[in-house]
Amino acid sequence: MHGSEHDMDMYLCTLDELVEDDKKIVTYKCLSQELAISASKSKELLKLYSKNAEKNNVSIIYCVTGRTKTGIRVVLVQDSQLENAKSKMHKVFSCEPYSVQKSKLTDPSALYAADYEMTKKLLYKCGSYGSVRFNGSTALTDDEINQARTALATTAAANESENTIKHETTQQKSKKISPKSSKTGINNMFGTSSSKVIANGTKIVKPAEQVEIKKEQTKNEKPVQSKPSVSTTNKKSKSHMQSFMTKGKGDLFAESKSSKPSAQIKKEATPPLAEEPSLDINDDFESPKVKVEQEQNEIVKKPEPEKSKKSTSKQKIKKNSGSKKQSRTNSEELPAKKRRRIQEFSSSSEDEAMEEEEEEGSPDIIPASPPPLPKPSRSCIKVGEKNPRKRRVLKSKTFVDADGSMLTEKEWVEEACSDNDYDKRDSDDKKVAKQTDEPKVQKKVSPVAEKSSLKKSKQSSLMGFFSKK
Amino acid sequence: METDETIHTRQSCERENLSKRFTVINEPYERQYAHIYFVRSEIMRPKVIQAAQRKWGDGVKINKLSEIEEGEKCCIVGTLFKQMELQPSILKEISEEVHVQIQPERKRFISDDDKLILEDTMQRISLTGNISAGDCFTGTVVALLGKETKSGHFNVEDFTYAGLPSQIPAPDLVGNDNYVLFVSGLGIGGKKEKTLQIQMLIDYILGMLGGSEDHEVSSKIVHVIVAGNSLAGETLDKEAQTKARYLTYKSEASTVQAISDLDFFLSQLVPFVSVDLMGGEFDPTNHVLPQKPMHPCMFPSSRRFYDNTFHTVSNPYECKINGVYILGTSGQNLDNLKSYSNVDDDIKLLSSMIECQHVAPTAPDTLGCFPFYKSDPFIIEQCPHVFFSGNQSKYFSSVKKGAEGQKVLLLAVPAFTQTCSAVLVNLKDLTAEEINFEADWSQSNSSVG
Repeated sequence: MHGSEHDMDMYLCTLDELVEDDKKIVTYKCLSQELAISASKSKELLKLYSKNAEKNNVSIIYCVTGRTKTGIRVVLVQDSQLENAKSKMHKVFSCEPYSVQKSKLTDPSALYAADYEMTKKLLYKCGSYGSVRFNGSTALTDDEINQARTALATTAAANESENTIKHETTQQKSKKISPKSSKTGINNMFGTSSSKVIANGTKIVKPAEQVEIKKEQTKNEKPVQSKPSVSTTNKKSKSHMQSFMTKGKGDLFAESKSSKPSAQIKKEATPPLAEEPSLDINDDFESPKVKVEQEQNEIVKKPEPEKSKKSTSKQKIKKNSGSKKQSRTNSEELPAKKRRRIQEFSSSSEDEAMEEEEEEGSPDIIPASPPPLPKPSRSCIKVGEKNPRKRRVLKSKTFVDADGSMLTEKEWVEEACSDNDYDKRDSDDKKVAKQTDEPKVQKKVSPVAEKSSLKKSKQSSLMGFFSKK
Repeated sequence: METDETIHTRQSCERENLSKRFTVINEPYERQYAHIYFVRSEIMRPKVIQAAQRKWGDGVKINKLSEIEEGEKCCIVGTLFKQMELQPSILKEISEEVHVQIQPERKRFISDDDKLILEDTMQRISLTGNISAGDCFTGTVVALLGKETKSGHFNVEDFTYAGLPSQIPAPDLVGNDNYVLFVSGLGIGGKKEKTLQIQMLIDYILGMLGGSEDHEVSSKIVHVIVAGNSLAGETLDKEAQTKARYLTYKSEASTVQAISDLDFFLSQLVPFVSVDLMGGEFDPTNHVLPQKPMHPCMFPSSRRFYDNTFHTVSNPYECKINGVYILGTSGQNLDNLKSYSNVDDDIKLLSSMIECQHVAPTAPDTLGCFPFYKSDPFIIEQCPHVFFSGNQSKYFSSVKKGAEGQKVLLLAVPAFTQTCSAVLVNLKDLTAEEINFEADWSQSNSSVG
């Protein structure tokens, strides 16, 4: 036996600690991992340790391999059964300790459980402590996965744009959002739990900028996360927040649709990499924080479309929440609000839409954007109410891919819905609508809506439910 | 300490997937099944005639069914059909006129009254004589020698299948032990799941368990074929269909956890050995044969090695490893033959399958299969060197030799949940041996204490 005696002593000490003090089940695998030695070495070590087993009063599980009449046999046995097991073999290949533990094991599956966490951590490298090498395998590197992802994302974006041609301006928005959010979607699909991969996945820009983005992400998250909880006090802000969320739902990947989950995913991913101050800052300081965040946005002035979009919309949300407070009634349900918010972009005057696009497109204007203020947003919302013929529906689309596998994809589609669905809301809204002067767009739709709402009783609305539209 | 540790290197294998004919893409399911029988008999007829001439001499008279004359000795060729009273039939079940008593659940659907009928493309004739219904299967193409009796039956004197197909000789791998490891029926997610044993199997393949002799063996495992039913039948959870949606919408399908466990096991293996994962009866893929490869997106972590050392493959699966042709299924074909015949012997069944040159003769009659209409991919055109069937109750292997020097290893791969065994096949000389893992001392312990 080579190897310095000192090392051996040290190893044995560690082993002793694990067994005696931590009361662990020490298998050769976990020992080789713990001490970074090969499996055979760690078995050697266990053997050495088990010589003093009687003295130490530990129980040992042996692994006996050998040949029987029928073939090769690999058996785990307790020390008491060792000779018995050996005698059953025609020829014994090896007899080595598998694990050492303080208490007598009654259930073999404990041995599996003992190594599970470690194995899970090592995963691909599990075999590297074994005595067999293999050079024939190459894994996809993170870069390759990223490439595949971006390729997928672009095709996804392309599909997306095809699908959403009908909804005019909203579509532009969603297209812009989709590359980013679909990326996280693919992350989910790959399911690579390692934070590293996700971090790489989101990295579209140069590495140097990565940290910046991280910061921004974390910055952006905070308000997103905290808003809902604040909203108990401030209902409006919540609804706006949600409508903002749903805006992103034009995307391909259902999971990543609502930005909330994806934000959470990012949140999970970021801690090791980004120097995020603290995730659970109390919500009490909500409004100050948002202000701070705005300031930061102005200071940073990074030309990041993502960020800018988020920040602008957030600012708008703030504005809206402030302005709308008085005009809202309690009876208004969430969907209705959602609607307004969506329509805000799809309708109103062309110029305004253009303006918004510009805001998103050219980040330099962002700092200046705050002014657009209550008035426009209010009118927008009014319009949204009056164009209720579309709603977002999560549709699953099934198709057959190149391999012949059937795939089902869920995506949000904006589709026309029957009048009756909105009857109730129409009647609710009419009071408000009549007071305000109605833009042109709305006039095309409203007559029908009004008519239907006037005429239709409960019964007819049920029929309407069955009618295809 | 370092001296007694020798590091072995695993050779990578040359692997070629030959299962293209088993992939069905964008084909409609609406067709009738008649075509597949037609195609089968058309393809097999010349082969069977050849076999008949080989067996009964070139002069044997081969008649179509319409040409038979009473009392004249001749040879007829056609597809066997076994009429079974007990064969479950949906028509019988729903028929109101026939008040069938509820049948006890059966594993076998044969009875003494089963009749054999031979069909060719024109007509059919019922068979008597030297042919037993218990040993034959619906869907096999045979040649029969005999006479038509007065009663209109055909009295069989002798019969023959097409015999072993021609074979490309196995490559000469002298001096190079090359093992392919077969394992099936891991049964992950079931009550009988042998988790520790699976882990032991993996450790063994990776060269962690055992001594240097073991390591030498494991270093020579160039390829692993997982032959179906990696997930347990319990994971299918048919109950879920009957429960109200709102009660279960939050619960995760049990396959999800099971498949991620499978992914976990595979991820340990694939960096060190190439693995083919076949679908099986209980695996999340389509049900009828041929089963599609499981989609790699179900294996997020082993997927990194996809197309490199990790492949999901169809069932049936045919491939060439280091020049050795391997063909096999996850066992549905064999199980089905067992249910509809008297034969228990896996090897005998495998052998008759290869003799009638068909992987799944009972498809589409009693075994679900895709309605092919131009081809019958289950016909074995070329004799493999290893013909296996997964998920059997016990390990069996036997070498079968053909008239033209063909040599094929017939292999019944045991289900891991039942035996904790895998099978090592040496490609060099086509020998097989079982490798058994045991870690169940609680019983022996209790019996002692």
